[in-house]
Amino acid sequence: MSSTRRTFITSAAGLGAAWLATDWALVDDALAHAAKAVAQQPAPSFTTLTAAEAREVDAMAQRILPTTNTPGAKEAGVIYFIDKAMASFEKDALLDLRKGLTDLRTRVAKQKKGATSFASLAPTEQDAVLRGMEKTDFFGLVHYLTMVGMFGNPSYGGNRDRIGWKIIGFDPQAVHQPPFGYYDAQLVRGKKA
Amino acid sequence: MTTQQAARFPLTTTVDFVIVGSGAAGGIMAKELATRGHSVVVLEQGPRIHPSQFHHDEYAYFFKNEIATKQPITWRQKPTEEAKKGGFLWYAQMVGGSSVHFTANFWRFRPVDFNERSRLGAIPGASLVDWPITYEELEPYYTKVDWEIGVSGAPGPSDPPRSRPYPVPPLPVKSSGVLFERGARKLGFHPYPAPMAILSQPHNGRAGCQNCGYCQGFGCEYGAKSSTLASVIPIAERTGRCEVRPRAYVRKVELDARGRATGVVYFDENKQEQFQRAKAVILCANGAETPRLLLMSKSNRFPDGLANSSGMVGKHLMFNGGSLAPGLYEHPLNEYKGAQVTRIAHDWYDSDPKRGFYGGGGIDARGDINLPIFYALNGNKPGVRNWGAEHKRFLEHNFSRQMVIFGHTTSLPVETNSVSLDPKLKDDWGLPAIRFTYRDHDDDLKMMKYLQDRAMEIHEAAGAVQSWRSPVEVQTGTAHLLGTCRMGNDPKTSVIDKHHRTHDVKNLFLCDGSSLVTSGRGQPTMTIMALAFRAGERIANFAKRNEI
Repeated sequence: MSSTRRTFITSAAGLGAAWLATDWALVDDALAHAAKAVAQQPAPSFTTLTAAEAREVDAMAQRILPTTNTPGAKEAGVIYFIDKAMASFEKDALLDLRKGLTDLRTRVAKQKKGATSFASLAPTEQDAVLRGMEKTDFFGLVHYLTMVGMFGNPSYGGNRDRIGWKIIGFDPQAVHQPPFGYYDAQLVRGKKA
Repeated sequence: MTTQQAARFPLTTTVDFVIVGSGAAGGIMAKELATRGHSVVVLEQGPRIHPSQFHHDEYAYFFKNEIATKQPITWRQKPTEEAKKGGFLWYAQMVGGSSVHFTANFWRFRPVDFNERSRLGAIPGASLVDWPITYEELEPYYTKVDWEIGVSGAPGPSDPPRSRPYPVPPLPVKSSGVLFERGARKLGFHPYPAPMAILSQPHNGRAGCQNCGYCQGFGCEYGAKSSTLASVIPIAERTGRCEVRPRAYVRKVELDARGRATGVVYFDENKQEQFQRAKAVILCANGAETPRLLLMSKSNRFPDGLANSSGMVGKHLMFNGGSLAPGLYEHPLNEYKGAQVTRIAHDWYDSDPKRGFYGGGGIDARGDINLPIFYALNGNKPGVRNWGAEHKRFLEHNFSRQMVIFGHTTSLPVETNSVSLDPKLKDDWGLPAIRFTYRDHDDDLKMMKYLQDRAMEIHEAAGAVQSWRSPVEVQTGTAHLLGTCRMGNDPKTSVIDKHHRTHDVKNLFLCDGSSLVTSGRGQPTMTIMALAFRAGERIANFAKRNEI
């Protein structure tokens, strides 16, 4: 992970339901399915983060991609991706993550007298804390990890049941057939007519 | 596979040619020389990856650089500054090089690219010069690229002359292409099917595109994308005269007392130093690694770097410019499916004095920010909060409805823009890291903005619900590495002659992005490949006539 990579990205830089991006029946179904799957699983233990660290990072991830009328970071199991990442593919960032969590505690105390954890704040208070730190490297790190955990391949431990892909309408098939979208389909129909 | 039949040369053998780099140029050079009877060893920095090992994993390819280089680099804008770690270098480090992961836009250069200095005069702040060759001289080799490497396309409204039609028709048009065509036509522009180095149908025993959408930054497991790995490297190996040696990291070209190249020193996969002897050395290592290798190959004869009597090695680095205008449409486009680009327009190709600055370019429509992680990080408008319920809603609604209109532009050759050796930072082999010095010429930035304005107009004419500009800024990263050992007739101002032979060393040749004299309009690989076909033929002829 590097911020330059993110900079580069921005600079440098069948008919029917299949391509209707947000099929809400499908999404509701996914949400119900995911909630069930999460509920049925015994809470797995974390391999790298302590339970307290995981709670804090999880709470951040859940504000970055909240559960709305569709699943969010919670249902996608983003925290399990992050825990796994800290032991392997992003382990160089673990120290920064821990330093950031220390700083987070200070910010939490400033936000609400007597509060000792970000997770214990109300969502609006959590958002206020995050808005105050959204330019920091630490927020950038958790933001990045949350997006990868939500939208990366499920093999990395997040994006459970491909929830992240379902909510945005990404269909990860190895082969696609044209037409791909509404406008090229319209063109094909026009030609046939 | 053909690897069983490939040659294996013991290190005691002096081969006819050692080629450094197996990418767009190196792969073609190997095929051209091996099929003409020469023994060839190709040394490749990266691993050999079989196409069946390519997979659809955005995180691995874009964020963990599974095939892209991890070379440490430093960056600065001006020679007076101290370069700092950072910046962004994007090339694929594996057999096939960046031809494996390119987006596959294959625009021929046009006749006007080769003589701009004569036609336009000097440009203040730049050292624009003519090429020592013309489009007409290169045309037969562009045609070789079309047919031997594999390009899909159809004739365009203002195409340069071509001696043979495309081998396969264009790829199926995407929604971005339909909308782009609609908008551009309304404005009086001339959109047409994009020439792409992706086979729309089977050709030369290779499969056609399956529209999986994993082209830009990925390897094609179907072999439909026209990398040298998929096209010419197997042909070179089947001759039994070519060995592609992966994980061979070259650190020096050696010279004898007479000033002739004798071979190259490299680190093998165990980081053991080895020496490959050859009658001639050809560097095809890319526009950053080729000048770096020359600068590292210092000797008493060449204290400033090999073949650098002109002082031009590493200078005149050009990237091409890119300006993006994302736009949202009412209905789903699903731009993550299919090749990136299906329609382009070249109405702004030539430099036009009426604009008030030098520059030219072309525009395409594409998905670009079309995979889920990228989109989540960068899909939203600049300056808009990219987290929280609002952002999530944006992603849900727009991931399928967004496309990008992309302007591709010229970069002027500026002498201070360069690749050099960093005085402090080392790579994993203990060698000096690449130092980039780069600041886009003001005219380059103006041209980028100019095409972005056209892109915004096209969005509007096409009926976009919303569109916006990605900021046009001085570039701090690149995938195009051009001009750093440029070709020319004058040994005082260029590094290689028009046959790709270095002016200074008779049996040392260079061919890759470093050879380019001007930048073209943003899609350099096809020209690099055409140059490699031409150079390979010429070098083989020199060998035949005992002129090496």
